[in-house]
Amino acid sequence: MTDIIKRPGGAMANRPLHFFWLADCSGSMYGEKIEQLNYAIRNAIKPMQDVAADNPNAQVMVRAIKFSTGAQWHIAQATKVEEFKWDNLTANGVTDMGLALQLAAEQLDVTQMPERCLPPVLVLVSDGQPTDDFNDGLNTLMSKPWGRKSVRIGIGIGQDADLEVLQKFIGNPEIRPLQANNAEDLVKYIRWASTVVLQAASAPASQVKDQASGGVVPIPQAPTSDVDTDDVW
Amino acid sequence: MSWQIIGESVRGASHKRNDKLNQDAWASLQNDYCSVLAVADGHGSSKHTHSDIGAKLAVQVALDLFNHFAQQHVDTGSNLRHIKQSADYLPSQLVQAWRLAVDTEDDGQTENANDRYSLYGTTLLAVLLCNDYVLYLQIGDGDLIVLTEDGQLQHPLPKSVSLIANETYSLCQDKAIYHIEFCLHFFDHQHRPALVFLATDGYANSFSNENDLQQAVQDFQQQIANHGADKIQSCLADWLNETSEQGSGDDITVAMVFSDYSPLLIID
Repeated sequence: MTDIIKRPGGAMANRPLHFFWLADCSGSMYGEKIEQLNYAIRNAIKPMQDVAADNPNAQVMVRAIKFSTGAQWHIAQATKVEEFKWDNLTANGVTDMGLALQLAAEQLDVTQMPERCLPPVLVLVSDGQPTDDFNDGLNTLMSKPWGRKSVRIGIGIGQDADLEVLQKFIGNPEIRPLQANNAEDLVKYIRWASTVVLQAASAPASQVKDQASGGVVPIPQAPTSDVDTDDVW
Repeated sequence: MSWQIIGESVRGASHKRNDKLNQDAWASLQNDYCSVLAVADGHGSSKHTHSDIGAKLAVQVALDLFNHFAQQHVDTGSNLRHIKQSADYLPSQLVQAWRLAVDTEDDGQTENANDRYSLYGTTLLAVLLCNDYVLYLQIGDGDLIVLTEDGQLQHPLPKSVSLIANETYSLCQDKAIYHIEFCLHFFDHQHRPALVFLATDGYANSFSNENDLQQAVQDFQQQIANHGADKIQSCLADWLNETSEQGSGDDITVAMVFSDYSPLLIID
């Protein structure tokens, strides 16, 4: 009789990857911009799920923060990407971006996110300038181990977006903020962040400590802006 | 006391999907005066394109260095103090020997030394077991766990809390010797280990928590006692492939050295 020997150890588990949307819902986003942001994120769900399904060794969990006057969880519970749905955001108020970073930072502690996790992805989308203490929020975020190791993407909507602030958020000169000047750009960038960036973060190779000049995950080239369209924000 | 060694290395599930090589390596050596076991994990990213070779060089260098170390002290009849003093030089000797091996392998293709070592970047875990002492050494991520005769699990080397998000220390770093952890235990003061377990990080990352990893180490000892080392060796590749598929997706290498005892129980 052939022995069937139980594999040593307990149940296997794939590695969690936490993905955060940080969405500007200030009054200046009112109208077409917020509608297009809702559309772009909803449009990216299926491709995002497809990318996640291609890598069964990562479990992608999605959350979302909305910020205007204050910052709140839009999706508070880390939600499996397979179950991720998007409820429309509405726009009103100022741009408390720093508070949004602080809210995200609370979840980026090693007590909340064990070391076996994959690097989290934070995608910040904004059309304006912070009205609160952005630097304070960023410092809080960067004080957390997973905050420093996160993959941070910044998408500016329209000509008034503060790209300098988004670059500070990204914290990596090799990754520039993306400026969406029209609805097509926004869809394209949101999809890129939801798929290409997600894919890169979900299967990272080892990086030698203090030598990862381009961040802990090399990020592929972003798509270029569609400059031919007439419909510019 | 005699020791047995088993081990296996498998290509990660994600590496199979992406058509990448296994960048881990392991090697062992046994003779009249020592047993040596080493495991390495090449970094694998685009900056480290020869890290699979770097890992193979690292385990071979560790074997040669530890074997020489053990032989030297047997031949000269060194006292414990002398062994301890000599061990302090091992980190620098290891880095120097690995760099020399890389230089030979690279054969002048990469002019800049830092770039050259980076191409071959790898971690390393190694253990040397002699009659009077055991020496543990590690640079970078991975797990080195000791199971004592009374069933206690120990981590003889400190774990770096700053290493998350796939970051690791490496033999290719400029100041690699400062990131090498090692310790020496003499058996006049400490018990001999029953089993020393080495694994690359793809193994631990396949469990949801540290307890499940520790359980695996205890299970291995029990399975060896129940079924014999040869049987467990024959199962290892399938187990590790399953672990990578259902867990981290990374390359996985597991190797262990354990006291050579008769199976306690044979299960039909």
